[in-house]
Amino acid sequence: MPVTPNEIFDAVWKLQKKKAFDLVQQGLAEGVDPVAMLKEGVIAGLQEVGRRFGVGEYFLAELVMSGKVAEPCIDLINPYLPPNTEGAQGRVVIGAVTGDLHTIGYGLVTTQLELNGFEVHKLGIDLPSMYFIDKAKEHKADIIGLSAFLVTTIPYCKEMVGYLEDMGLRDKYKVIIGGTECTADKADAMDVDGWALNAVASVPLCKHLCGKPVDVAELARARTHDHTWWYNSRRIKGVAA
Amino acid sequence: MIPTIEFQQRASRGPVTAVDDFDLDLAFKVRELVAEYEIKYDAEQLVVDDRTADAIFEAAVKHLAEVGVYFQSTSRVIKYDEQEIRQLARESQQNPACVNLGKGTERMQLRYRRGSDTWAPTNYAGPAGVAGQDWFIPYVQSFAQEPSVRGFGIVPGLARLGNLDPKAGQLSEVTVALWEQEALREALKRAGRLDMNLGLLCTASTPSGTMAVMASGYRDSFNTQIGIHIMPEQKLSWNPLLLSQYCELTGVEPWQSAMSCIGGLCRDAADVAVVMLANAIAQLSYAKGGSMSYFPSHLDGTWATRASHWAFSGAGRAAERHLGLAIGTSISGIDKAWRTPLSLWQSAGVVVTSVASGLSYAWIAGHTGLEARLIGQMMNGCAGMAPGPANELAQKIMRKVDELLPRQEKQLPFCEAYDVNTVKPRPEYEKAMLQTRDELAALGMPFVE
Repeated sequence: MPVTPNEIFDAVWKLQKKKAFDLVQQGLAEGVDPVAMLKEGVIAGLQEVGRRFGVGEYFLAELVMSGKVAEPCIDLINPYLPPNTEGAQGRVVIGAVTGDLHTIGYGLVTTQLELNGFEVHKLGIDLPSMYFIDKAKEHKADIIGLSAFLVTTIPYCKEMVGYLEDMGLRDKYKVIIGGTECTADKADAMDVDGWALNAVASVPLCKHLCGKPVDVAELARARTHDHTWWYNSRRIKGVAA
Repeated sequence: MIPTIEFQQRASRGPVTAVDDFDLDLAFKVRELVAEYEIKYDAEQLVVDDRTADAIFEAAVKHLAEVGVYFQSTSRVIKYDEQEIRQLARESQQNPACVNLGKGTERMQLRYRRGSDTWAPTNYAGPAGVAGQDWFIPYVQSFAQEPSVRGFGIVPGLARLGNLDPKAGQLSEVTVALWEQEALREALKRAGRLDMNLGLLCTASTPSGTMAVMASGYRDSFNTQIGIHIMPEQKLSWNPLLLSQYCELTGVEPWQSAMSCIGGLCRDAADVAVVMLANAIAQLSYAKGGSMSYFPSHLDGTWATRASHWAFSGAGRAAERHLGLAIGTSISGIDKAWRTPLSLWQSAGVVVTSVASGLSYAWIAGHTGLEARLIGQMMNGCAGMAPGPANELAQKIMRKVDELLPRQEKQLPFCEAYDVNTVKPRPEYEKAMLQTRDELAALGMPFVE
């Protein structure tokens, strides 16, 4: 019996790294459709992990682990995908700004975005603004994600916007920010492109910034009762409610 | 005792590890240990018993010995030997903490306290958070003028000075921090308490910023604590080590503070209690301080829940029985409830569970001087309360919090709570807080002046 995408799906959400990898390898040898293995197997498995995280059955460790299960599978499948296959939802480079060493917040955003089909490059902590820009160029990013938790590190988000403006790159990349003291008001005042209350809300935000459709349920996650500002309407076109 | 310079070697020679791999080790090891030591979060019993406290200590020792601390600057893991961890704990327990701060009539102590002790924790106040230039001084003064406030753990930071943003590691960090020092001095002067301890430097947090502010003459070892803490979850870098070395050389008491997130790498309060205690022991290994704040929060930043009470109690009681440290926490509600009755209700929940769990000092975030006074009275009243009645009272308070929480929308700005010219609570604010006090008293919360 040839491998089915459903078997890969099960191995991914159950975090069985070796089994998932072996199944994909076997499927490719057997000529199973690589697009189905990717979408119905690996990506659907990641989405199931995200769902379980959302209802409290899985935790951050499972999210991190699922990325480790999926990554080698995707690397294996990628060369077999036909050229017209729809790629990632968008490319994001993300990290903590100068002076900021907090890792959990942007780690969670990374995982949520990956689970939802974004290609995310996690850059690290305590990074100079120019490093983000260099990496955005290198990875042909759509979005630069900045994590800043402290009053003394939030101004580095504004510094990033300044660099992009001065280098004539402001419209090339969308800039999003987040972190405990990083409020929607501050995001608006800094004229960044978007802000998310939490990791889950970062998904519709990034989808919208990349011009992908955002459904009603996702919109509700992006707008919360006391945080209606989530993207910069001066720079980004609105979404249908 | 491990010499501070030893961490140079450990941070440079420990195993090279990807941060994700370290996180997974941390998460799965704590799960294994809470199962092995049968540590279970119990929402019905918020003051942890001796057996559970001992189990949390044992699990934390094993966790630190087996997982270590991730050193972000070198991408290596600082490793510990189980025997040296036990030795460290023994030495700490044999020399119970007694940290002297403040000067003259403002002299105060942070000292080791058991949950059963009848003396109340130190009211360490702390108008924490971000303040505006125009209300910074009255905000601080509102706390300093309260006689029951013995000192400050945390002072506020300015979000902006004129058009200058305070940026970590740049000239503006020092400029803004110096403005804050002058303003703090003015607030203490107005309250007639110039020799009070002021705790953290707040905006100055990098080694260079800290040293520049310390050299300015505003601060000394009698009125300062310097943050040297490990980030959640077990992440360390050169800056805290450099600042620890600085504290050791200058006699400044390090601000040790352990935090862990419920629902992140740690699943629940049981995981968090173990990891937070492991974090605390690791800080003790290089900073050698006497005080230790715990801050168990949920991943979304919420706090003062049954789970966070249990996690504090678990790590607090474990430290009480095995580390001899002065344990502190923030007696506050969630930030969207700051300066509202809900915040006082949530704070009451923290008071009753933490005082019975060995709390030694309370830094009181997001309130005003009025609530600092009321919280001080609650701590006085709860001192010596046995775990059974404490838990019973905590459960009643939490049921009220459950009712109020869904209705809470936003915090009240300080300037709407206090008249910034007279530095007195506005009548309607005072009335709401005193009414909450009366409701708490009717529920059984003792208020003692």
